[in-house]
Amino acid sequence: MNALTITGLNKDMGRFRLKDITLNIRKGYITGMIGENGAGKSTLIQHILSLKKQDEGQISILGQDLETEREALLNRIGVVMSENYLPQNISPKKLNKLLAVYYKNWRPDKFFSFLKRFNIDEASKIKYFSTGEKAKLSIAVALSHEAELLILDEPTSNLDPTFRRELLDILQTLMMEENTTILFSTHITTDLEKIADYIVMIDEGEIVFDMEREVLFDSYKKVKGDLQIIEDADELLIGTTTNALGFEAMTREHQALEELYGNKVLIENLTIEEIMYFLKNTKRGVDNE
Amino acid sequence: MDLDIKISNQGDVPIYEQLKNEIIRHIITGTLKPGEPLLSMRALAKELSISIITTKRAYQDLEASGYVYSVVGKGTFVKEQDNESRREQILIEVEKKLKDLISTANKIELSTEELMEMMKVMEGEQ
Repeated sequence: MNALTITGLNKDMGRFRLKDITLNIRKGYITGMIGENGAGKSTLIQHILSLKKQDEGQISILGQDLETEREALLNRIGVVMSENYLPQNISPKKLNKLLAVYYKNWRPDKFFSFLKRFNIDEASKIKYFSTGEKAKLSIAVALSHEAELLILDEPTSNLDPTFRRELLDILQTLMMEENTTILFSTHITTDLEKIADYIVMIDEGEIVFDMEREVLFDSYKKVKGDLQIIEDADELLIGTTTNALGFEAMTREHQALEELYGNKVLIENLTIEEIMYFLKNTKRGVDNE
Repeated sequence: MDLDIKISNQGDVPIYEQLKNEIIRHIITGTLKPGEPLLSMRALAKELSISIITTKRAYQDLEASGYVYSVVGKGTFVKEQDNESRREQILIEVEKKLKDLISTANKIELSTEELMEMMKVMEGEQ
């Protein structure tokens, strides 16, 4: 069951293109979208929220077509964007009144309890808030209207580590409810390392992979070894880098490497960040020197 | 289910594997009794700050190897175990791994004493 389905999405934006994006976001799970700055994460999210219109392709959310059911759907989606879209000249208290009109299922009790928990002054104007406070405020909004789908675009980039951890805990609490789905984009991959169920990597407007986290970490491994091996094993290595002592690369064939070279190679687990690094390396052609 | 479960994010053992082993340990040592319910996958994921899919994988593996069973809409429960034969099975597994270990160690003529010493150091680190 999918909470969000994107089929054959294309968008030409001049210098940048989204290319043939087909993606399913599974209902009841956390999907993490990773990629460097400028990879296309935010642009894709803007299409999902119909803030931008694609040249080609369909988007369906919670089983409904985005184009025809836009208004109803936006009520069921909670959004946190990296750029602040909240009105600046009012206080959170005033904002509460506005949102109660806008959202069908607005829950003032939840909203004010999040403000309290996040230590946000409900009486002062939003424009006087720090970047971090504004981020917390938009998180409070997104969590206070019974959204079935939460779309968080770089929600943690302006937050300090303690609060980032608290946010992950809040998200996991939401996930106790099987109907909640979260799409979380970030370049701070450590936030996703632990709690994301599915990981989607985007690079240069294209989807590089979309995998269940356990499958991802089982299939990609880091391999280190002597320089002599490189040429021989070239086909099995991804994004190889070398120094005077040996090489480091990523592989999808760690068992084969272990059988072929035994203790001449060292196989280790990767982090998401390292997976991104090695994949980027291949693209740059570093391994074809 | 109020269990002590230790998961390391640094180790080379995948998290679902660690979780599975921890639950097996509790079943074999009897802290988890037959018929006792396990925490729901979502609750356990939250408790341990790990992903839902990870707990799902561990629970599926445990069910496949006959440690637990699940009832639709009710949850996952510990299966009646023959602990003697379970222990036996794990001993066989340990022996197999020891053989591998010894043959690897032989490549560099590592003595049994040195191996034991290494194991003690590792145990201390854990």
